[in-house]
Amino acid sequence: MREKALRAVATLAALTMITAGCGGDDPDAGANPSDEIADETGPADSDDDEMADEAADDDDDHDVVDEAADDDGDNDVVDEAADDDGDNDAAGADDPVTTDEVVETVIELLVMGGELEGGARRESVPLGENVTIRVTGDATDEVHVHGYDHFFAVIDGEGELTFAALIPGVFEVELESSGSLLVQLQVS
Amino acid sequence: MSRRLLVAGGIVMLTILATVAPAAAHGVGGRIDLPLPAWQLAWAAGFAVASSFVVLGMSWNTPRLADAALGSPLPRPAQLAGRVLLPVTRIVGLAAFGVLLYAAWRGNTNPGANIAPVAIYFTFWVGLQIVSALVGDVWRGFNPFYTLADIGAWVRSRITETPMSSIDHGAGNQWWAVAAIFSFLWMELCYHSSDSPRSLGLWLTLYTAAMVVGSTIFGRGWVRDADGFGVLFTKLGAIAPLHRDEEGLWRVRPLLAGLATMPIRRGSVPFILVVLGSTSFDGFTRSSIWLDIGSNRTGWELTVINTIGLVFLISAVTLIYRAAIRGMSILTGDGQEELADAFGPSLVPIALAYAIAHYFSFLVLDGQEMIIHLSDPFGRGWDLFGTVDYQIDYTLLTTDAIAWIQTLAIALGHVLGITAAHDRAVERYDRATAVRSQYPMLVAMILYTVAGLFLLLGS
Repeated sequence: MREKALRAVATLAALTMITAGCGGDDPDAGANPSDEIADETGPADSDDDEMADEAADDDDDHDVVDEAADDDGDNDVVDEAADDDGDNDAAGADDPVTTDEVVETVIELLVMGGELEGGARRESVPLGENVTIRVTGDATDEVHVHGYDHFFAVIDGEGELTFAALIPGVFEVELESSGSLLVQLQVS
Repeated sequence: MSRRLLVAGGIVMLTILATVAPAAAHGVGGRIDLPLPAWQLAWAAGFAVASSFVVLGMSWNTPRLADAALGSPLPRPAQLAGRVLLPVTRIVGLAAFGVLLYAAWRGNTNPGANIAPVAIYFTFWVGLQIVSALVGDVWRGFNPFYTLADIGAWVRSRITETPMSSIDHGAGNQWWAVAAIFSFLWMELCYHSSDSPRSLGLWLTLYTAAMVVGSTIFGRGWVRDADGFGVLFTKLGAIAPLHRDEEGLWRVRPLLAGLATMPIRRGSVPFILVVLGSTSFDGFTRSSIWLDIGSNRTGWELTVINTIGLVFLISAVTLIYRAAIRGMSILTGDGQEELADAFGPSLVPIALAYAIAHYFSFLVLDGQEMIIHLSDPFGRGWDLFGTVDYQIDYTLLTTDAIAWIQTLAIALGHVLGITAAHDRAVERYDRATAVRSQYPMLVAMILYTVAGLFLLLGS
């Protein structure tokens, strides 16, 4: 009788530990946002004539939006920081983004063989700031940012998208054709 | 025998699903909730533990729920309205079912341009769970499977010239419902292209076929115990204030009272545990632990990993419950099976709390996609109501509001579960034994609550 009771208590204790163990891990384990998010200036394809502006902004961490030199392009992605000149669905492929802008959070994703190197991870982005998702590697696919429902093409391992992170929450960024998860974007 | 049938059925279903071309994964479910802040979690866990002892210490020495479960009848005009409404809801239910089945098979193959995935996974599955618990078992009025079974019974009674009432046998147990709801949960949470309209159409067709064949063989009463949705919504409806008694009279009763008189058959408690485990699994897949396990897997590999995870969490939830029952059996000397059945209903509020905590924001935010889909259900470029350009308003609920809804749901579900269990205990035992018998159950409930909260922490 007593032995049975002890066994029951031991089972419960073990279960408690197992269950608590699930949540007890460091939230950042396996995902080191601080290492992965490089705060840097605009997109890399800056081989146009506005290099000087870019250099001038070099040290800002935050969303400093230059109001000058923007046009009224058909860009509804970035609606508070009108920082480029038009569609950025497939930046890098056909339409170099002007680089007189803002410093923003850039998330670099090295995608090889249809998967993110090092496995999918979670990235934190401050609410209201601009985010650039830049894919490199060997993929030719479409990337889907859920919730925001932005798509951008990755051709021969190159593609990027900049948008304003205006909706709080966690959003999956996926390779659309394979369904492979790249990043969970945490906007808060 | 029936197990072999299940295995065979499973193999057939897997084979057919394998031949359906997988569509782009994840058309539904755009936004995941932010992790709950740790302080809020600590608050809720502390509240749960403290309130548990308050409930046990209350002067609640006589069972109250069972006496209140019948409630008082609604006035005549309301009864009349209910009777008039029933055929209408049956027709609406059957029509909606038809539209969804057609959309799934013949509509746009892009999950984002087809009404079926959002309608089934959000509006129907999540929406009806919440409505059932807050209002009453409305699904009974709409259930197209009842309607189909009724039609089947009518046809059969015509052919065999026997009265319809002679072919109304129940199943006698709810294991069929366990299989039915598991097939849906597997489809939603494990199958790698769960939102592909064609896969969903195939699943819905098989489910419907099972209901029609079953009710033809066993009588239409069978559907009551075999339709997994009906069984779940009825159980949740036991919490709700509105219900229909055996004579078909509409009655109101205090919240929670119905749990005391909920009929428990073989399979009923496992059914609740399967639903509870599935919600836990869904929360688990959104955590960053799961990122390492499941994120880079696609196709059938993902399906297999998901299935293992789902079965694992259902087993864990079941183990915790069985351990509590075992402890209770040691403390009271009563048989384990008897106790498992007696206290099973007190898990229903926990299941509801998990569902609200995990899915409420999906229903309110991503569920807005229904506004778009209603104008163009099959994805053919229609604009019936002029709403195809609607943009989902993700700011409808602030992240703070969501976090509080989650915390309160879990905390309240915990209190309701403990209360229902305590009421059972004082019905069975004298006060001292009743309180003592509840300690193992208390540990189990606290485990569920804390585990539920940790899943919301998303770490």
